Amino acid sequence: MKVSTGIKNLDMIMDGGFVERSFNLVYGGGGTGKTLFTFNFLLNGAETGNSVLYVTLEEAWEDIIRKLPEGMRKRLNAVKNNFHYLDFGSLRPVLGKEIMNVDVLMEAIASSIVVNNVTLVGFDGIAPLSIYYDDEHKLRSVIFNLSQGIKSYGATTVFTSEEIEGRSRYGTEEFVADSVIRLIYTGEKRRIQVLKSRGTDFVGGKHGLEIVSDGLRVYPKILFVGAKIKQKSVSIGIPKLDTMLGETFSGDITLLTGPPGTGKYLFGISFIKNACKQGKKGLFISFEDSVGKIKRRLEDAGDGKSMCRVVYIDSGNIDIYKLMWQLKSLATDANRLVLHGMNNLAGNDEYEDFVHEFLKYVRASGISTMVTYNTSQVIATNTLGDDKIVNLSDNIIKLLFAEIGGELKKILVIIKSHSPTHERGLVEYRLGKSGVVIVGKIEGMEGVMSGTPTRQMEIKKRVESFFK
Amino acid sequence: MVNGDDRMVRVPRDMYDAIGELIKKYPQYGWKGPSEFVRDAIRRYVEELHRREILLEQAKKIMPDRVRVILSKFMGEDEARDVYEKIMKIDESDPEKFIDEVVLILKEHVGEKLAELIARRIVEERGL
Repeated sequence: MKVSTGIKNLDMIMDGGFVERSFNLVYGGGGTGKTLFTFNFLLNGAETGNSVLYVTLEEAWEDIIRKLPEGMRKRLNAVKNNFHYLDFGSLRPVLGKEIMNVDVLMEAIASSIVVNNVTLVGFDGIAPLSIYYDDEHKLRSVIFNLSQGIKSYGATTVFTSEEIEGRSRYGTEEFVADSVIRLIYTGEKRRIQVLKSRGTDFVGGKHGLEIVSDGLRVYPKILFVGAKIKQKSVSIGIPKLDTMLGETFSGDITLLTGPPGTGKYLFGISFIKNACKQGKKGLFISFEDSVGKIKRRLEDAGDGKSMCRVVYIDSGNIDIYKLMWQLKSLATDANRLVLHGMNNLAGNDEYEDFVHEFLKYVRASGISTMVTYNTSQVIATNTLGDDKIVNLSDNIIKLLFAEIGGELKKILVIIKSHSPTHERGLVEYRLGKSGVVIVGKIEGMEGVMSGTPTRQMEIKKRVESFFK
Repeated sequence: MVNGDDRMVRVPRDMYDAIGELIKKYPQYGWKGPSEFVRDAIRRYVEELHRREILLEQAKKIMPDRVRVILSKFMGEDEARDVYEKIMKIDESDPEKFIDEVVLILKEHVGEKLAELIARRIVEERGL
């Protein structure tokens, strides 16, 4: 049997949560949220009908309550009949260090468990035990005795410890604990890591963690992709482009890469517009252009009141895993998705994990996705952008400028497609009020990709005259 | 000096000898012989018992409120009130028994060791 950690997504990471009657360590540096984790675990337990017990050896109960976020305090008020506590710190001025004797502690905890039918215990902070037990070996056996004692009363326990130099305070807590969770706060982002979970599977790595008013949120670094949806043939939304690509399927990822000014977002609008007109859900996520700009263009393209939803996400100071789960939530039931300006996220050190996981998810969910990526060079760019997206894309369309006949023309070329018979030539396109218009193939030109095209005939003549 | 109302008590020989040694060892106390030593010891012991009785009586009076204050902070007002109400129902005639009963009630809520610690501490606060 499993007991919820109090955080739905952490339960998923830990294959359902804590093992019943287990002793679970949560450790981390100052300000990482150990007390809030413990509280959240107990509040969730109390809300689901359990009688719970919070044990503090150091910080006064009143101070802890005062520091709780408002939402958690409200939750506590709603379940206070099920929520019991023992504040051993309050006894220290009256009874001295004798109260840190493990027999005294254990008897008091056991009495509360029995009297109140407690099933979940939060033991917050074990550092004060060292006042009574200054020897590390004794302390180890004390923690072990506590764990065995509480387990014998049938309770599932979370206990917390400080992190010192990457390990728990005494370095022994991990051995006693059935599971070990580490909380990390870098000053910019919070992470949670399951290091051990005896007898059960768990998802390793550092996952996103957020502390909000009413509790804690975990954003796993994976999206728990379900069974793959059967693919069916779909249109990319620009008729001539469909022909050029050969064949596109639901769940395909199409990368559109090119310099600024090539109209990538208009391709995105054409991509979702058709689906939206058919009453299917289309989602345009912009990391670059404003919602207003995209919506105006959607209206211009003849899509006034549709199922298309446009969301702007500011890529600055963003938690990438939180974003990933937000996107997953937004994309639920979506048929088409545009991720516009993915390059704006590329500076994040966990960006590659995000790209891999999210694109894997949309593909398995059958959401046809267009990713637009800005490359920096305007003329003669050799890059397709980001390797991770390139590798995961089913179709890659490169947009570029070329100076032809004294005019800067917009050219597209299909680099990759499902179909072995996809168009291999360079195609000129224009941007109009109603969207992208494919003009036609560039004939008789060479060197367009390099940015300095020449007419094939001219080269032929030059070669011939050279040999003459 | 023998008084007509005086009564004899028997002490074992070993104890009698030990008294003699103590008289020799501590001449500063001025005991003139074993009888005076025993009279002094009994007087002190009776005083001690009397003082203890007074202090236990005082401790008994403050115990319910002190327990309630300590437990309020330790485990919350509701449980503290519950314990307090149980204590208030104890027969108060014998202070020693009263305190034993308090320990029994506390034991149920906080365990035996902590119950004894709390009761002892409250009694000690009265100077015992």
